[in-house]
Amino acid sequence: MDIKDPAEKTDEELANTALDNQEYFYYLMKRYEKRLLSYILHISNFSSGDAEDVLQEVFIKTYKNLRAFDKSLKFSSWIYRIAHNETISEYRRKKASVSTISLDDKDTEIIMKSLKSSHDIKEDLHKKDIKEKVREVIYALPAKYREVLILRYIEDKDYQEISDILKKSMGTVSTLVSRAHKHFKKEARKRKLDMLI
Amino acid sequence: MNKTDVSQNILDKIKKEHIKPVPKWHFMLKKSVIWGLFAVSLILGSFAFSLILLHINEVEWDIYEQAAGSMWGFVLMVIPYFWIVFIMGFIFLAYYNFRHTETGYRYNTFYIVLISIGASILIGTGLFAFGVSEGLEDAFSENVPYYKDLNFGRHKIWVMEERGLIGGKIIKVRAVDDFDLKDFQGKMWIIRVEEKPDPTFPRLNKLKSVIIPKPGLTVKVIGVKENDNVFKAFEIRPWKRVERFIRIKF
Repeated sequence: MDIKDPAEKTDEELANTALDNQEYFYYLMKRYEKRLLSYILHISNFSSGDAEDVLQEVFIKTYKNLRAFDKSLKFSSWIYRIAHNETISEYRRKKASVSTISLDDKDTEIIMKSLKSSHDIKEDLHKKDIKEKVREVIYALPAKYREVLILRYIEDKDYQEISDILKKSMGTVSTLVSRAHKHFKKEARKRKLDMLI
Repeated sequence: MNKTDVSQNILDKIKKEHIKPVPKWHFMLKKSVIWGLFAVSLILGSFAFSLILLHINEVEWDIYEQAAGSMWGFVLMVIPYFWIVFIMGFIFLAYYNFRHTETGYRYNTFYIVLISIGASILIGTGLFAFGVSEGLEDAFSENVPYYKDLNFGRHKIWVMEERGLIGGKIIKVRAVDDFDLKDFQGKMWIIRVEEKPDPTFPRLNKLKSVIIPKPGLTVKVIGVKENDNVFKAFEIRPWKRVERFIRIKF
């Protein structure tokens, strides 16, 4: 009999146990609920309600495909991959254009600090209007660059994890991140955000 | 304020709708199909490469002037375009199927294509060495509509009667230097063999093949067309340049 506390189990152990006992899937969902909801909002323009609908589909798909989980991957990479694919599918179904921006101030600052070439962060980076412009820059980027920036700097994924989530080789991920930086600076220049270049 | 527990709602939905994890065999089957398609693409690519080798190996470079007027023209004529297009298609299929395996995305496109090409070359060379490509070529010629007619195969050089190059099957032998031949396009010819070619005739390879004509033998004939039914031959060559030790028939 499995007497280990669910909180002490790894994701992989919980996934395995959930195959025999559905209740354990609840603990897995609780671990990823907020993170995935935040990720779905970041890469789409969905309202909270729509994002929760996508999240529901993500978890149902995850449960149905538990036996397909490749143990050579981290469970987090696998579930993020499902979330990514479901969000993109739903985005295409709705054919929504980017009209609302889902990055909050804290996330925006993280990206600003990460992309800034110098380590000197000037005072004015904290100004609300600057952050608003930075968010505009991020959402002006092509989706493939925005995705990797969000995964890299907000979700704090390493290149291997990003590779597993997006199903692209590490070389491609590295190229995408590098090009995302260049595109970001180009867009920042257009908006006269010189402190970021 | 009570916050809705999203996870609990989802778990309740899973229970209510009796949603179950998909059985493992479903994923194993899918995996097998993709790997199987990858293997098939590689094998077909190998077949195509073995046929490319066959075509190149069977080219008789000494007749370039007669066939095309120039070496460049002859090279363009003998390149097996059909099989090159096929091998490119199969390499692409192999790459596509590999990419759709569980971990295929981790590998650089360049290396996947390089390894697919390498595998096709290696296996294809082996198939050629064991005579499999000849069997395939014969099978295609006999069974695939338009393969011979559209000159996709080796026959394309040997249907140029105006240039003095014909090939086909010997039907009837009257004498060693007088026999009937049915060419690859179904036309009947009376072949009269001349020992000494016309001095103005392009110089042929000094090594002459000794052929004793007999009914059923497929040969290549080099000479001059005298009229619509008569062909003056200066040389008769066997259809296959080299007989293989092992021959696989399809």
